[in-house]
Amino acid sequence: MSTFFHIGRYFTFLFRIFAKPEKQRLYLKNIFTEIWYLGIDSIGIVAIISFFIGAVITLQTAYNVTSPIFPLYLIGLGARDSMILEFSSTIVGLILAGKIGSSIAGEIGTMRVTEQIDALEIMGINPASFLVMPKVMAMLIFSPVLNILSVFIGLVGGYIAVMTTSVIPVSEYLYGLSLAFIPYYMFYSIIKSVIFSFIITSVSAYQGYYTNGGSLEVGKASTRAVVHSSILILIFNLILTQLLLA
Amino acid sequence: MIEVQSISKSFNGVQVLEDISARFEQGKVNLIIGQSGSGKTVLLKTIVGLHVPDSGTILYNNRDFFSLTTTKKKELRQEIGMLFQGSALFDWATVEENVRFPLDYFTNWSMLKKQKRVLFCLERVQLLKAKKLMPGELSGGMQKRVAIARAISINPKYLFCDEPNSGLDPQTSGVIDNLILEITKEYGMTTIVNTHDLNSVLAIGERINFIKDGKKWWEGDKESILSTDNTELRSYLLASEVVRKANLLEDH
Repeated sequence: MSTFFHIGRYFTFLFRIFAKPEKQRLYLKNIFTEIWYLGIDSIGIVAIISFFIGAVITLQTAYNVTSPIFPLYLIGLGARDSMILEFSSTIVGLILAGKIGSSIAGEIGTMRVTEQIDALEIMGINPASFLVMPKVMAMLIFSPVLNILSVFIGLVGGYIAVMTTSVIPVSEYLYGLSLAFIPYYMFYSIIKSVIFSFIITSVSAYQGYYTNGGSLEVGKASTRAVVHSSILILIFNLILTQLLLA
Repeated sequence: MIEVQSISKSFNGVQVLEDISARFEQGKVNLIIGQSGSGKTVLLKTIVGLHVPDSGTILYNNRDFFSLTTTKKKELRQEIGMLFQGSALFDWATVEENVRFPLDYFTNWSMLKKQKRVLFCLERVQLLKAKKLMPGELSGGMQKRVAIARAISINPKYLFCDEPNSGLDPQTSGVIDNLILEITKEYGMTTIVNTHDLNSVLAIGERINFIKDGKKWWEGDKESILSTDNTELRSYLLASEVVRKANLLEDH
C-alpha cells in the first residue's frame, strides 16, 4: 500500500516539477548554476573512475586471453564496447546516484526541515518547480557530456595501460578501438545516461522534498535517495537494454 | 482583516484544532498565545494555507482563501509576509539576495529600483552593514531581522510571525517585538504573531487569542489579560515567572 502511495505521490511531484515556470529568466539562471554544481563538479570523479576502469578492463581482458588464435586487437574492441555499452552509462549512473543523489536529497531535505520550502510556498512560488526543475534539466543536458567524456577517458586509460605494460602492442589496441564501431551503441549509451540522470535527480529530490522531522530524517532521506535511485537504475538498465538492443 | 471561522484540523486522527473562530484586525498586532503543543503553529500554518483545514473557512478581507482559484491564491500569497520560527532564510543567498528574492520573482522592477528597496528594508531593520553576509554568518536575532526585511520587501498586507522570539535573549526579543509593532503601524498590516513569551504579550498584544489543547479559551487585549477570570488562562499566566514574581495577576 505504501509503495503505491509513494508511486502516486512521485508522479504528482513530477507534475509539480514541470509546471510552467513563472519567471523563466530565473529558472534559466538556476539551470546554469546547477550544470556547474551537479555536472561540471562531477567531471573529476567520473574521469578518475573511468580512467582506472578503462585501464583495468583492458589489462584483465589481455591477461585472460591465452589462446594464440585469439586476435589481440579484439582486446581494444572489447574494452571499447564495455565502456560504451555498460560502464559509461550504468556504472557512472550508479556512481552519480551516490554523489549527486545524496547531495540533492540532503540539500532539499534540509530546506524542508528549516522551513525554506514553506517560505517559498507562502510567497506563492511552486517550490518543486523552482528547486527541482533546474537540477533535473541540468543533468538531462549535461549527462551526455559526462557519458562521452567517460568513454573517451576510459579508452585513454586502456591506452596508457597497454603502453606502460606492453601487454599487447599499442597498434593492436588502437586497431581494435576503431574496428567494427557501431555508432548506434553510442546513441544507446547516451539514452541510458539521460534516463538514469532523470531517475537520480527526480527520485532524490522526491526523497528530500517529503522529509519530515529533523537532521536524522535528512540523513535517512539521503540514504533512501541513493538506494532507490540505484535500484531503479539497475531495473531500467535491463528494460532499456531489451528495448534498445533487441 | 483576517477572519477564521470554525476551523478544525486533525492529523492521522488526532484532533489538533477544534472549532476555532477568531478575527485578526488590520493595523494591529494580533497574538495567538498558548503553551507549546497547544496548536498555535498549526493554526498559523492553516491560516496561511500550508495546511488545509478539515472544516471551516479563512477569510482575507472577505476572500475565502480555500475557495480561490490557483491564480487568485497565488496573487493573495504575494500579499503575505511570514517570519518563521527558524527564520527560514535561503542559505544559498546573501542577506541582500534574500531580501531581494521576492522582488526578483514578483516584480519587473529595474535592478536599481530593487536595490533601493532592499537597502531601505535592511536600513529599516538596521542591518545595512550585513548585506553581503550569508545567513550562516548571522546571529539568531540578526537572522530574524533579515527575515522581517524579506517579509516586508514587497509591502505585504498581512504579516505572520511564528514564535519570533524563540531562542533570543530578552533584549533582542524586545527589539524584534518593537520592530513588529512599528512596521504593523507603519504599513497598516494585519499582523498575527504566535508566541508564548509573556513579555511580548504584555508589550505588543493589542488583540490576544489564548489557545489550549487546540481550542480557543479566551480573547481580549493586553489591558484585560491580567484581570481575566478564565481559569485556564490564569493557570497559564501563573506558570510564568514574570507574572508570578511581579504579582501582576489580579485576584478574583
